[in-house]
Amino acid sequence: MNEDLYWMFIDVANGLLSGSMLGGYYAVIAIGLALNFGVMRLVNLAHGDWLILAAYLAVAFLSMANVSPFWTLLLVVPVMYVIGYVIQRVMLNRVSVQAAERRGMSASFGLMSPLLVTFGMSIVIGQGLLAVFDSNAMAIRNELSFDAIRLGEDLTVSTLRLIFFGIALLMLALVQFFLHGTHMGRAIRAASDDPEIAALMGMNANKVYAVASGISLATAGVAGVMIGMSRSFQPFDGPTFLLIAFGVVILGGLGSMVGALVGGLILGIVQVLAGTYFGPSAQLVAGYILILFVLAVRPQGLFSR
Amino acid sequence: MSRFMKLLPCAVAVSSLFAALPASADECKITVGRVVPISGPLLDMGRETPWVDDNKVNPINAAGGLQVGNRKCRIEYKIYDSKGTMAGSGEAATRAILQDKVDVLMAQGTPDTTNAPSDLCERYQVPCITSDTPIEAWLFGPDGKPKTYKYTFHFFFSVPDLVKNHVGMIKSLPGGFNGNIGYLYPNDPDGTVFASLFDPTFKKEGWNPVDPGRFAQGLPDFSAIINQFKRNKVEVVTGVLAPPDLQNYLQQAAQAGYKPKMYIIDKGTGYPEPMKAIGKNGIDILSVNFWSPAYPGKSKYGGYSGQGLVDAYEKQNPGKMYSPPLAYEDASYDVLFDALQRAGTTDRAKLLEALAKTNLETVVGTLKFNEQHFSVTPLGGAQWREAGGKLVKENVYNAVYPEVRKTGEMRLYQAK
Repeated sequence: MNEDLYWMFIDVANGLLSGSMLGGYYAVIAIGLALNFGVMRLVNLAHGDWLILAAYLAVAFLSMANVSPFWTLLLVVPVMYVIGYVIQRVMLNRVSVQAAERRGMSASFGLMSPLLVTFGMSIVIGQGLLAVFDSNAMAIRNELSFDAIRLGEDLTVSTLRLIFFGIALLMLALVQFFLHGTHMGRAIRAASDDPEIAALMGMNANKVYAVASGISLATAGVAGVMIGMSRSFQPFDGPTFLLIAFGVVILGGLGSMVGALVGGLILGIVQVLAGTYFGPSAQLVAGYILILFVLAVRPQGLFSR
Repeated sequence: MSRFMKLLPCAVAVSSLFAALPASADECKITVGRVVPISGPLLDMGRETPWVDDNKVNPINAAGGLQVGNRKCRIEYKIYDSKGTMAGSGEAATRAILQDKVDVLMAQGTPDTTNAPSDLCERYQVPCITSDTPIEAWLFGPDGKPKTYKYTFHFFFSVPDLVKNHVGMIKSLPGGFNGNIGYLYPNDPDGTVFASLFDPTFKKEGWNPVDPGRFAQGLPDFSAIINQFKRNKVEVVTGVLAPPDLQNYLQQAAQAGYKPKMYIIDKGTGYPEPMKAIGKNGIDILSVNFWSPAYPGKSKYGGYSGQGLVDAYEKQNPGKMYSPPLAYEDASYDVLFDALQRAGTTDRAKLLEALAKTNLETVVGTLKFNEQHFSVTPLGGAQWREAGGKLVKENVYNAVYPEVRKTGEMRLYQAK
């Protein structure tokens, strides 16, 4: 009897704890998408593939320098920022809602064409990775992935996931500060709220969007390194993560940074608890049911602006 | 596009270069269509294909061809990508048979790659040699009845042997076993088939299965399953997991401090590349050994043993470790060459007759097709080890087929 009680406690505690940690990991994956979505109204279907590209970049960097995987962030994040900036400047700015309006095309063009372009980009990135890195499963080797902080005999927290949780909080705080406390951040929000007035005020919307896109991919860089450290990956693994990011963004609300964290936490906790009480087959299903439920009841998300 | 796809035109170009040489009065050539997965989810199984082809065919062509009757026949081969799917392999085989009119088809690597080509060979009456698919998965049709093959010959291990092997490995666990066995069977064809196969057998042994149920591939969190294993004092965990799931599970088990006495996991564990990615927690995992240099037998065309084949491969591909399909592909060529020589002609009917009478020593053991057109090859129990920073697959259990040499002693799972 006592033992039953003990395991009941363990089940709940593990659900909340492992679920939160999983949620932090989900939040990092989703931040970039939320930013894109919220600021540029751009659904970036290649988001998952950018994550995998970042993971491969980290692997390539580590094969040249034998250092702790966390150092790869110093290289991966700026590289991803530049990629994001350039892609937005030379490609996505030409197909955005605003560009469609400028050319006098209907707004639905503006919604459809970025979807098609980023979908195409997703395929190009996957194939490109396959050509360069082959389809071997890769992983970013690190000592931490098997470590855990022991809270009890049967209750542990993955060290790596705890670190990721900290990174998630830090990144959200930084992005939030950037959007609200800096000139560029205010410009990004202005351009997102009313591009025409922002342009009248002398803002270069194309540049503003490029910076936002760069930051979005920079966060994807962090997420990619994080994914690579916690599991093995292959060139075509991107869409799986896109799906997770979508789930988080739908739960938390489009474009809301706090929403990304809360959405991630809810998704993670619900998945782990469902897995505990209804068997592992219920784990992913419960997440999707939750997303459907939120879409039905509060389609703007829990924390929408 | 993978590296192999890029190699493909070269391979074709090389063989057509040979064909373009001035032919003797009685020119003879045999075209072989090779249906293998060189892209897609089963790529690990097609990795060695281009090397095997070169290693096997080039020396023979360099000597003027294979002696068939009183003629020398050049061997031409072309690789068709099965993409690791049923549809892809059917399309590849159709192209080989109808468009390129190959003389013989060879297909390797799971039911997804062997079964559609086998059916097409039957329909178009083309001799076909297949392997690397468990006998039953090739033999039985969707209706559960054995198919009648007239043109296709198959060799690999059989499922009853696999069950015997796994039960035997658990019974010979050093230090005994408390009977609590945990399942990691995902909700995919392999997972459901393995569960339906092993669950009754384990129960018949009087063991106590702890089954968390079928789960989706890519499960993010295993902590609930691991706690269930802990709670029920599971000593042996068995399952079929793809590499990413295996790695995710092993990390979370290590974090939770859960260490059973033994893991018996198939699928991801059969190939060196995924095991390299998994690292030291993959060491000591047991799986079926469906080929290693511990197998008996020598190749008739090449003269090497399994070890010789592996040595040549690893010497010419520095940093790479062999994987089992290497041997099955080598043996497939041997079967074909041997049958051609015994037939003494390239005539299809005679070739089929000769194939049916095959009794040939190869690197996967002696192949002798029965009236249902298959030959059961040996298997063993493999355990991954590390020696000098390199992965090694040791054969640690051979009670089912004693002729597969033991290369190490079974030990308990001991990663941290």
